[in-house]
Amino acid sequence: MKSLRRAAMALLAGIYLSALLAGWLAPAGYARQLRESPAAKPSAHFWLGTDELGRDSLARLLYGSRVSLSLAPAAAALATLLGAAAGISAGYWGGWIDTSLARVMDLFLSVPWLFFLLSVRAVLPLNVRPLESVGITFLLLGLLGWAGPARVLRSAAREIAGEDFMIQARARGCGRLRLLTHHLLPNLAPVLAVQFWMSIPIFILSEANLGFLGLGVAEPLPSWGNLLAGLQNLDVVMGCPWRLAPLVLLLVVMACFHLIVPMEDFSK
Amino acid sequence: MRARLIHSFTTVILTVLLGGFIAATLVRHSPGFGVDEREFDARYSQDSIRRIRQEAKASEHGVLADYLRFLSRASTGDLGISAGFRRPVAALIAERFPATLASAGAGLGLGWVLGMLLALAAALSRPAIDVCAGALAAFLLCLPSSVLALSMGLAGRLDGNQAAAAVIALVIFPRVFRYARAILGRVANAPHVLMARARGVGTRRLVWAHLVRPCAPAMLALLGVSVSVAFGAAIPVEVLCDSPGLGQLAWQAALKRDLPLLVDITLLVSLVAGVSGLAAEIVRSATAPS
Repeated sequence: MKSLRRAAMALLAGIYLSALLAGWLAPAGYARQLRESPAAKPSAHFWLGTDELGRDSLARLLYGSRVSLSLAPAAAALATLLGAAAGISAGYWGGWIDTSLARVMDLFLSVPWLFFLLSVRAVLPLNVRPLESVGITFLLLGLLGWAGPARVLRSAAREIAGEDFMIQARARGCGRLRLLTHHLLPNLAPVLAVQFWMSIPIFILSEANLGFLGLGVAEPLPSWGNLLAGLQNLDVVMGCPWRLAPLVLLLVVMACFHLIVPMEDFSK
Repeated sequence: MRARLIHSFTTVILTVLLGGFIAATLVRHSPGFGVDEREFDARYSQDSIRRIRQEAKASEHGVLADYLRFLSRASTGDLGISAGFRRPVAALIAERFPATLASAGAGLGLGWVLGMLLALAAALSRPAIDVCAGALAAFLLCLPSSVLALSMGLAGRLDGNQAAAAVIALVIFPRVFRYARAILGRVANAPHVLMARARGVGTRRLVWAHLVRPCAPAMLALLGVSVSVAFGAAIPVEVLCDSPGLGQLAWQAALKRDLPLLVDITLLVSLVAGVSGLAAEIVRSATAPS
């Protein structure tokens, strides 16, 4: 299992590296429209062919991977940080802080994830520039996705706060801040790491769903969401199986994440 | 027990009410809120537009007052008029809710039955089933629900509601299977189960008395969560399978920025998810061994 996990990490690193080298691997760029070769088949020039607008599919896939694989971890880091702040505060301080934070967590977790995301996304302007749409999409994921990690971190913090070494440290006169930074946080680091890794695939899938619904990253900037939305034209896809490349890549990436850390299936 | 249930029910209601208030505040402060379409009509003079704005401003009484007024109207079944659809919100919801309820219900039932049966078979030492069902569950968990909905388009023979139910089942199945497999696997290797097997207890009795019943409380705890997952999946599924349910309505409301309608739908779905969680909790408490 350990070797499988390492292989998955290496594969993910390889995919991310190629996404970072998109400019070099696919110099055509993601937005350049080659009007003389729309919907072209794979060739030495265009490894994955072109779309109906004559854009290089490989370039769009690589740039889209760059967007999704860079910003989903950023959103996951934001959600984990917010979740850590809320969960650890609730679990460590207890009392009314715990009660009120737990209520807020319940509030966030009571709404089905996609309904929540859709409602808050609709509150913000819909016709925005592509870069703004990227910011809005992933910032929303990060800002709204904190409650799941917070709930887990709250119970972990409560558990650790009641451990013998914590009671002993308190009995020896260790201050609250020192207890938090020297005893609680180091012991919560593995839980934090798991929450971070678990949030990434959830956010990738959420962005894909939002993209499918036309509420994710705006064209012409590619992301896995709007690349997958291109599969809606089933007749075209059936005749051109290479168009399934974004789906295959998404599957590979998600499988890698599943191997790296087992998913909490009901989290979102 | 009774006090706990009343407390849980009150918590659900308060959570929904608080959620509604936060949503109303968000809507009130969203860009473009309160802008009247007539303001963009070239036939209206500057003076008319100024008066339209004044009338709109006069009808606003602060978020809390408006929210309380909305709640009092909602208690009589009046949820207001949808700006995007120009129809009463209550009528729109009443029209669409049954379709979502039917597809989510059928999907949940199918997903749970499939997940539980395969988890049971896998737990009862059927390695081939374990590997195949595990691989299928992992594969399905890697796909967004929208892609699953698209695959139903390839299948082609199902109508919108049936396709939506099938996709929701595919979303629910892997989650139920993996959770049930983990719990049943643990129980199946417990000493009392091995003893029962050694004593020649029949498969039916073994499954019911020694596997399903002890695991029921833990599985029931998941029922409420799975309702929330099913309703969440309903949005892309109903949009792509062309099933006229609440998910599709929510998506249309989002595209039209019909925020009050969207908030009403979200609150209704949260209430359904909250109440199903509560119902699962009641059944769990009733069936849990004392």
